[in-house]
Amino acid sequence: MAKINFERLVLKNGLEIILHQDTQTPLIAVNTLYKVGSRNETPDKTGFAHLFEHLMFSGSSHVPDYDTVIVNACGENNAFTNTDITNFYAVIPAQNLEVALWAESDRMQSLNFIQQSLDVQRKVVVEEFKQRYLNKPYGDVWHLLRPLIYNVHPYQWPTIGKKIEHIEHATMAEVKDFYNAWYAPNNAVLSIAGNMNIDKTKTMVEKWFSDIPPKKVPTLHLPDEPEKREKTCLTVERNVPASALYMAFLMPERLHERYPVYDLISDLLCNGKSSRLYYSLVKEKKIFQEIYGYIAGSYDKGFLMLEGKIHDNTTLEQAEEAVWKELYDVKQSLREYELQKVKNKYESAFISSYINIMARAELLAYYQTLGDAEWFNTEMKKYEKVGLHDILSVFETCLIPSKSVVLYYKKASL
Amino acid sequence: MIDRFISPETTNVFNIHIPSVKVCQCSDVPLYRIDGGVQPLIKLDVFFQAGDAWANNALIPNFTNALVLESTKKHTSHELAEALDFMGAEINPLNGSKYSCFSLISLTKYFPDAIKILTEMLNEPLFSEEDFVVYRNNMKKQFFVDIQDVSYQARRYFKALLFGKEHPYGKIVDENDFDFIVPEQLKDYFTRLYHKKNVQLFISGDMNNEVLNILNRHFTLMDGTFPHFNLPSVVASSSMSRTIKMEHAIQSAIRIGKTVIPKSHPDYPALQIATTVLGGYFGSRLMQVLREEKGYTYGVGTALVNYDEISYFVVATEVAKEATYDAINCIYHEIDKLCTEEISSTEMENVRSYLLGEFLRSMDGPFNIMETYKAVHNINLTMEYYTYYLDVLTHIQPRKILEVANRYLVNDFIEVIAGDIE
Repeated sequence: MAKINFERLVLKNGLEIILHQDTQTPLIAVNTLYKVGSRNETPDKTGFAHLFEHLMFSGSSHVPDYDTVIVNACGENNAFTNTDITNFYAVIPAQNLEVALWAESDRMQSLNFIQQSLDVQRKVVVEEFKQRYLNKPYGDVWHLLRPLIYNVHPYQWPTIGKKIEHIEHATMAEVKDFYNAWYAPNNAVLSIAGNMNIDKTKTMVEKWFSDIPPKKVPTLHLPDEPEKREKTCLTVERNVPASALYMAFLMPERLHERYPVYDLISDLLCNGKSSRLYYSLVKEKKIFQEIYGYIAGSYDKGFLMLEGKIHDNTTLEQAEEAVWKELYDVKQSLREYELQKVKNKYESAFISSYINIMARAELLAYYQTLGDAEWFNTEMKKYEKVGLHDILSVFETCLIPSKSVVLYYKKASL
Repeated sequence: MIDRFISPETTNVFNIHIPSVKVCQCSDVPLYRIDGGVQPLIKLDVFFQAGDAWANNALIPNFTNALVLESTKKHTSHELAEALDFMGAEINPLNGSKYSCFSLISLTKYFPDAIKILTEMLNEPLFSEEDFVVYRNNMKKQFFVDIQDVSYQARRYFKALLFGKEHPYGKIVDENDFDFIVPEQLKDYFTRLYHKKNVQLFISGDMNNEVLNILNRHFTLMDGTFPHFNLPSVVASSSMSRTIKMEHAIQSAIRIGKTVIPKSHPDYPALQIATTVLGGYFGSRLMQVLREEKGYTYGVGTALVNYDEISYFVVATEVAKEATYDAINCIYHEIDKLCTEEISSTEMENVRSYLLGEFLRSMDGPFNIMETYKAVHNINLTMEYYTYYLDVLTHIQPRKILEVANRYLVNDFIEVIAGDIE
C-alpha cells in the first residue's frame, strides 16, 4: 500500500501541524482537532463539549461569521464531537487556503461570546437531542447502556449529554471557562491535506497561528474503569415492534496492543453475511432479524458491542443463550483462514476510509493526537500481526458472562 | 503584528475542467469509464433499467436485488458470502423508481475474482424459498420499526401524495405487500429485466487495460429483449395536505413541496440556485430562520429530485412538536418572499460561491466524477449539461432568481406532517 507522506512541525505555542500534499485534487482540507470531548465534562454538566462545538460558529473578534467566510471562498465546513475530541474541518479550493487559516486561527484566538447565540444553540442542541435520541425507536439505548458499562469513568454519559436539562442550564460563564481551559493551540492539532506548496503553507500557518498565546490546559485525572467482576443486567420495556438484545464488553484503550484484536473480533462475529453471528443466528436459526457487532474505540477503555432485534417467536433469554453458544463455538472452531478473512476485510475497509482528502486530514490529526501521525501508515501492520492465540485468549478471558453487560430492550405487551 | 481585520484574498474564478467519460463496449454492453484515484480501489456499477415502474408490488425490485445477492444455482449464499468477505469486497444493491443497480467495490487486486462472483449472481440466481422467507420476515420486522419514525412516515406519504399511489413514482410499501409477495414474482421480474439488452456498466478508480480485459472476459449476461414500458404520464401536483398522527412524538416531521420542471429544461439551473437560497446550505434562509433564529430544529433543507420528464422540489425538517405550525408558516413565508422580492447581491454572491465550491467537490476524484456523470446520464442528459449549468451559475443575477421562483414555486403545494398533532 502506498504510504501517506506528510510533514510535521510544532509552533512555539505548542500547536502541532501536519501537512499532506496531494496534487491530484483541486481542493485542500483544513482540519482542526481539539483534544476535548465529553470525557472532559463533569457528571452534573454533561453535553457541554458538544454544545460548545455549536458555539464555535458564533463568530470571533475579526471574523463575525465563520461559515459565511468559508462559503464565500467556495468552501464547506462542519464539525463533530465525540467522547474524546472536538473536530472542525473546512474543504476549500486550493487557491483559497489562506482565508480558511485566517478564520480558523481567529476563533482559536478570540471567540465571540454572545448570549443570544447561546440561547439559540441550547434550543438547537435540545432539538438534536430529541431528533437523534428521544424521538427515534430504540433511541434511548445509549442513555441506558453507557451507565451500565461505565461505573466511574465519564464515558458513562453519551456525548449529547445525560439529559436535556444539562444543556438548558448551561451558562455563559461556563462557556467562557470551557473555552479558556481547552481551546488552546497547545491542546490542538492542525492538519492540512491537499493541493498545496508545503513551504508556502508553512509560512501561512506561522503567520496566522504563531501569535496565539498558549494556555494553561488542565490535566485530566480520570479514574480507570475497573474490569467487571460480575454480569450486569437490565431489562426495560418500550413501545417498539421488536425486542432487542444488547451485549457489551469493556475493551482496552485505543493504544493498547489488544485493541486490534477486539476490532477483528467484532468483524469476525458480525461484519458481512459470512460472519459467525449473522450466518448462524439470522440466516440459519432465524432468531434475530438483524445483528450488529462493533467496537467503540476510545482514548480510555472502550467496549465491544453486540446488538440485534429478535423475532417474535424467540425470547430475549433464548437469544442471549444462542449468542453465548456461538461465542463458545468460535473458541472450538476458529482457524487461520477465518482470521485471514477478517484481516482482508479490515484492509479493504481501511483503504476505503480515506479516499478523499478530508478523511486523510482528519485521520492524520487523530493519529497525531494519539501520539504520532505516522501510525496512520503502520496501523495495518498491527492488525496483520494479530494471531489466533490473541483472538482465542480474548474469547477465553474477556468475552465471558461475568464480564458482560446485558440489556434486554423488551417490546411492551399491549 | 498582522492585521487580523484584513481578510486574505480569495478567488471564485477557477479553471474548471469538466472531465470526459470514456465510452466503450464490454461484452456487447455499453461501458462508461473514469480512471484515477490514489487508492488501489475499483468501483463497478451494473445498472439495469428496472424498478418500481416495472413491478406491481412495491417490494419486488428491492426483494429481487437482495435475492440476486444470495444463493445461485452453483453455490449457496454462504459460500458466496465467504468468498466475497475473504476479498473484503462488497456488492450493494440500489433501488430507484426506474433503475436497479449493483455496486461492487473492491481492492484492485481482488477485482478479477469479485467480478466472477458478481457475474454468477447475475446469471444464475436461485431465488430459493429459504433465502426468500428469511429476507421477507426480516424486512417486515424492519418495516414496523421504520413506521415508528416520523421522518420515514412523512417521506413516504409525501411521495404518495405528490405522484399518487397508483403511479410508479408514488408507490409506497404497505404491510399487506409482505403477505402477497412470492418468489415466482421475483424470478419473472428478473427474467424480464436483468439481461444484456437492458444494462449499462460504469467503472471508476484504479484502472488499467488488464482490468478491462478481465471484465471483458468474465462479465457476461443472458440475452433478452428490451423491455418496453409506457410509464403513465405524471400529473403536476395540486394542493393537498395530510397529517399522520403519531402518538407521543415529541418532534414533528414536515415535508412541503411540489412537482417542478425536469433537469433538461433551460430554467432548471436557475431554479436549483433559487432553491439553494431557500434551503440548500447552512447559510440558507430556512436554516437561518428555523434553526439559527428560532431554534425550532436541528436542521432543515431543500432538495430537487430528478426523473427524466419531471422533478420535484421538497422542504424537509423535523421540528419541536410545539413549533410545528409556526415552522410551517415560516416555510411558506420564506417561499413567498423568494417569489416576491429580489435577493440581495451579497446573498447572490454567497450562493454562487457555495455552489461553485459544491461543483468543484463533485468533480474531485474518479468516484465523485462518476456519480456526477450518472446523475445526468441516467436522465438522458450528457456532461454538456454541466457546461451549461456552470455558465448559468457564473452569470445569474437576482432578477432571474425571482423570475424562476415566481414561475415554479407558487401554489399547488403538497404538505405532509407526521407527529403528535391534530
